[in-house]
Amino acid sequence: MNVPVLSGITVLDLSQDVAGPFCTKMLAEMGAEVIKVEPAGVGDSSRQAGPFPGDVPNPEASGLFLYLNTAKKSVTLNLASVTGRKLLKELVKQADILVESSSPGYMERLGIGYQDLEQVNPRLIMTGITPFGQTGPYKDYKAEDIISFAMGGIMGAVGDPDRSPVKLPGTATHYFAGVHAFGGLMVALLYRDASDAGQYIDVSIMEVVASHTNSEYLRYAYEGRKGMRSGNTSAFMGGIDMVQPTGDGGLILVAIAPWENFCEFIEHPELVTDPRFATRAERAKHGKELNEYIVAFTKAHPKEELFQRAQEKRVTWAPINTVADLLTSPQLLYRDFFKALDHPVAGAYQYPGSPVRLGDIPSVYQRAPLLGEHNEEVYVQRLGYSRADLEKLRQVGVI
Amino acid sequence: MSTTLPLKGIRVLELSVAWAAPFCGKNLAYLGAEVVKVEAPYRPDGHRGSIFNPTPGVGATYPQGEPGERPWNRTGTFHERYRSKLDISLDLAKPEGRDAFRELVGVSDVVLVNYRAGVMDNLGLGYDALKEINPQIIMALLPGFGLTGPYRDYSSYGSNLEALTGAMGLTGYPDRDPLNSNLTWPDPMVGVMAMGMICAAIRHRKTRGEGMLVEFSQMEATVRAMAGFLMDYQMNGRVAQRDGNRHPIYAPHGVFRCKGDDQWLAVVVRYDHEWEALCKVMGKPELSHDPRFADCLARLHHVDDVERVVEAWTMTQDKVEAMRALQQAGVAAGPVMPHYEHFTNPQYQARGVFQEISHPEAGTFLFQGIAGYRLSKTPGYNQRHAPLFGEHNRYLLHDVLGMTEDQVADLEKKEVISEVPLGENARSA
Repeated sequence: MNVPVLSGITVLDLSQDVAGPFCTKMLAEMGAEVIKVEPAGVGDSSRQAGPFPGDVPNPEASGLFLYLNTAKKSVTLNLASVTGRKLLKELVKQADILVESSSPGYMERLGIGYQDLEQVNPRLIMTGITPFGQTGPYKDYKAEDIISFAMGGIMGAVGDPDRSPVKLPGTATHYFAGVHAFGGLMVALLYRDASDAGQYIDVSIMEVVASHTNSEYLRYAYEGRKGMRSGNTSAFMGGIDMVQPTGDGGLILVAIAPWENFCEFIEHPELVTDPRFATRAERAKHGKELNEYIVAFTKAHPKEELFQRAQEKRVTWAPINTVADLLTSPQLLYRDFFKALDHPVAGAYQYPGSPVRLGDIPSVYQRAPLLGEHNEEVYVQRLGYSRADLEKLRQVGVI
Repeated sequence: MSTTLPLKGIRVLELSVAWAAPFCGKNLAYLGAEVVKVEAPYRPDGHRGSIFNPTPGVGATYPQGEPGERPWNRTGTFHERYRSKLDISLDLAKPEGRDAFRELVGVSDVVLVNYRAGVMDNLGLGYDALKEINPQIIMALLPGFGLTGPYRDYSSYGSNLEALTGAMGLTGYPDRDPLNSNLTWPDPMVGVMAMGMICAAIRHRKTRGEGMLVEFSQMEATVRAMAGFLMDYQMNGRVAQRDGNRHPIYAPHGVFRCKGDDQWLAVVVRYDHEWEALCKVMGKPELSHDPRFADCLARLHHVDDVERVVEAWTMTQDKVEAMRALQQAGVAAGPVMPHYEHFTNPQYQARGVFQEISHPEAGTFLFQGIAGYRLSKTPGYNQRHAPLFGEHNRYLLHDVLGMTEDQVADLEKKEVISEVPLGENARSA
């Protein structure tokens, strides 16, 4: 039976930008019916964000929006109006999941907070994704990706010791938050099957980031060590420079474990028993000397060859690629990772597919919706409004 | 605790290294699943540190820097990644070990693995073999590159995925080499995604009537966080370049040095009115009329100057007070918080983010609770300390599988199980 795992589940996606839409993208790929509820007129804020084909802004052609909203439907709805909120509650009656990303208290002020919607549908699972969560002294603070990264406690470890801490590419923390929201939703859905009870999931991006702190925070609690960012050298790696030039002008990320395999791989088997490198502590002291062996070797070979040969020895090196290399990656192409999707306004592009295979059940891939593309399907066919009603709602700005 | 645990009654066998599967298992355990770490008597988990040559300060982290008599039970990273779980030390290289494992599969719901692709098949414990024992079993495999393709047998960890996917090329200072974050950030992202997929598969088991193989590619998961850059490359032929903390549209967007040693404040200005507010807080309202800064395009063109004037102010400020002043004025700002400030952060304290766990061989410390998503009716909790090596051998083999005391003793004699690590640790030094 190849029924998608979330078939029959209806999701209302009121969220904007990256985190919420990335969460509901996963639900759509798994077969849920995801209805984006977008502000009438402008839509999800990511429609305004680039990239756009030819750098020409167009809310129907934002590459970020198109990627984050594959296989979803779109309706427009003005939640600031009483009529809009009435329509939302009608949708909530038929929904299983609602995801939103407005500031704490905003939904409550409109009378569509969890307490209100729970009355309408006690089985509803509602998720709010915010920078700091729904409670606490920071709840009303503003944040962007870089601020969540900084406050979540891991940015201080990224960068060179003589320079500032540095962020991760793009808006990585928002992708993390989307994935954590997804995880929470699946737990809540499983629990609902057993209990028939919906619930509210409070996602704090700051706490999501904090959970990625690894065990750094214990280093201080256990040993009083504060640590410092160490760029591309780390004590764990024996103090060597993890980025090395290759013979063809590229760069490769190197590692020195497992030690015996590594020595053999760089064609210096005698180093295995060299007392300067006998233990991790010794290697940390003699990192510079070790580095010389490594760079002499990497400079003598092209990048791709180093990668393949290292892996044959179970030494985990990797070429430092650009995003352009992804579209020709033999691994990604072999696995049909990219899905070609055509879009009536933006045209055809290759979209990253799902990183997960659930048995023999295919994932769902369809282009992102135009703004309000499914108004008629949802409001007329689903909720039973007439086409004439729809036109009136449009004229007064409700949809 | 009297809270309802949403995953109570689900048993998970975790065969894991590094972080992705442990992160997944930790989340499952926090929410009530019985998660059993399976490790080998001759090859304890790497996070237990060097067994016979523990070196404080270089490798593992020990309470007060003291490895103690049984250092493998005292390492911080193991405590963090394995809290709320149980532990069996079982040698899968021995036939008796594999037999016991198969019996455990018979009474489990999930087998969670992040070994290299092929490792379980080579042990005769791949999905096809396990579903013969238990058709309901869900096997979640989290290899670096998936189960197919030219890289399938390659090993990986978060850092080399950053390099392969282009993420690393976009991390760091424009005038220096690409920077590895050293955070291995793909691991927890994949881990929590796997938790969600496992729950979906358990749910689906009722419809489908049987379990399934859940196959991840960590590389693919990492690429998905980079998709905006990939779309730009396809749409405009543009290969994005690393640019430190700067943003293509907003300035200032970065971290700025504050009073004290290595203290920083992140500040982002999107709109003109925020810039005006920032200038007022800095005590330089005239800067909002300065032609170099007056509008958002001017600020982008003069980004070096923008950053200089902001840092000239932050250098004289305490990072936390500066955050409060800016946030009150409607400007997005927040300090770079070192991990050692976590425990005293007022936001975390108000929300009860950290919870104490007492470990019989390490003492009492604070650990983070749920990983950023709180379920109102079923929040979960840290149920127990990370397990001692082999702590639940007897519980699993005797209480769960019903082996006799003699059978368990026999396995111990044959070194199939052990409550202390045996022989030379493969990961020593």
